[in-house]
Amino acid sequence: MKFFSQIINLHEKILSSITFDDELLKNCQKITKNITKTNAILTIADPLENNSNKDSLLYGIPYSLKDNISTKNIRTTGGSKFLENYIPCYDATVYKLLKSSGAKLIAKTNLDEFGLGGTGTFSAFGIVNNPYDEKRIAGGSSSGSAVAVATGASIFSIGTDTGDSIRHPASYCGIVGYKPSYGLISRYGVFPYAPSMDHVGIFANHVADVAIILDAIAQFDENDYTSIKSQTNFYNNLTEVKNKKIAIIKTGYEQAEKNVKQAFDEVINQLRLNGFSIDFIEFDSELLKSLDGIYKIISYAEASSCYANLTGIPFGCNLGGKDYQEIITHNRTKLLGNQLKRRFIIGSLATKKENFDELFTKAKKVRTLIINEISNIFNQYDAIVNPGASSIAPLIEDVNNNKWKTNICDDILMIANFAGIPSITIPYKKVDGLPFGINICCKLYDDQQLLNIAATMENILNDGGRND
Amino acid sequence: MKITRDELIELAKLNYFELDNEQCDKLMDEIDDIIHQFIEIKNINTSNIKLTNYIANFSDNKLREDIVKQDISPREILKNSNNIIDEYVVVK
Repeated sequence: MKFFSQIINLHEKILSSITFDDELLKNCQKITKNITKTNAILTIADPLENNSNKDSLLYGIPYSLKDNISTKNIRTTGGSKFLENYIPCYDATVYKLLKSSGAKLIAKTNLDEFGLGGTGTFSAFGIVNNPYDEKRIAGGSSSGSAVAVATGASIFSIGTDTGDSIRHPASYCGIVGYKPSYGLISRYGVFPYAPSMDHVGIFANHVADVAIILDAIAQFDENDYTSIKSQTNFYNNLTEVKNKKIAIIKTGYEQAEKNVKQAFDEVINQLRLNGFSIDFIEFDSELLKSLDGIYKIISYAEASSCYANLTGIPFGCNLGGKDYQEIITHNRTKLLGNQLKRRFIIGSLATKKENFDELFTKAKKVRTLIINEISNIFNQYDAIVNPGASSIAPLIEDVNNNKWKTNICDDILMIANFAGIPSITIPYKKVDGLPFGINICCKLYDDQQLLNIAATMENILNDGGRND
Repeated sequence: MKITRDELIELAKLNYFELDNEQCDKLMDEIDDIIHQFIEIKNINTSNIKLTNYIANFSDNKLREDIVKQDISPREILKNSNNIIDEYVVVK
């Protein structure tokens, strides 16, 4: 079975025409300038002179980076006022690898401040709007990257995912969003949020494109102590799968909104017709209910520790003061967003001496139980499939007024971060005119199997309706 | 388990920022809700369960040789600080 790849199509055109890569670049740059009203782009980068081999599949392919990924001599804000004028003096490994592959960085994309948000409404540089309906969120925290790919401003984009920050926006924006196994893509030079759950991942239009990009960036990096040695050639090994056993977590499915559930039922029918065996399974309800709380305790505690270095003294904005304590307090009071302050306080509450064992240590033990439960599922099933989100993209107004809340259907995505397992969201179809995706997870380090299943499903589901 | 206004201000102080009254009021309400979630977690039986710090196979990287490399000069690193003398950051 042939898997469609936008990158392969563009690559063939680049090889057959001297001017096509320039035309492609100009077209993406034009779209980038035209999407200013979505607030997706923070910095437009001048593409560097390309000295790479034209045979590289990524040669001349325009892409963007989430603005928490360090780029030497290119402003990297993290979506924060604190780093509004920060110019890194070194490159993140993922950027370095993409440069050597010949891909062209054209923009740095907006995000919830330092990745601490799930809606795209917490950037110091404004709310990112959904490209299908500007009154709705794009999802977060990798909101700008999702919009850049969905609008065609970038052929692909690199984001980060600590809870669902690639896969949720992918569902809301109708594109593919992939979070690899923990350690597969280096995080060196990427601003941390919660290191035990942080992943660098990929937005693209097709699963085969994800495999091509992964081949370029999944490399062992001694600068990241969590980096692993793994296979390469994900794209060449992409194959159709048959007769796979799929589990659907029943409680998550039940909590999806009616229109999403109806669309998901169609997915189940089509997969069954194509030989997939599908079971609805139970997952310990106490553990499911605990997902959001566990995420808050662990990730907020790690974040408050990671960002203790934001003082404004060695780097970042400095508003001044009479001594170092006043300088730090002044800077952090004025320059950190409310969402960060909220999360740092909750993180500090969980790690206070009197709460440390009862909350922080306990949360890490419950994390073990969640990992054990998910590992047991993979003893019987090849993949877990669930809706990519409980609803289509909600209205910004509802998010800001706390009328919209996530539920277990959304929280299930966090399991992939707790367990480090690979997870991907692929688009299925539009529901009420807005995109809706499905999420697939496989066991730890089985990224090839995940991509094979996702690519097969993409074909079965008619490429998310985009070929209609 | 309930958080008082004084505790909230103390936690903010530990994080080196201040909260105004409006922020305090909003956070008090939100944190009350979150504390309910935390109480539910306390009820999960975790006896004899080991804690998970990281999902990683550190064997690839943990014990690599520690070689000092001067990739970036101190002057370059200090470009992002707005108050330096020679190769030192001025804090006072």
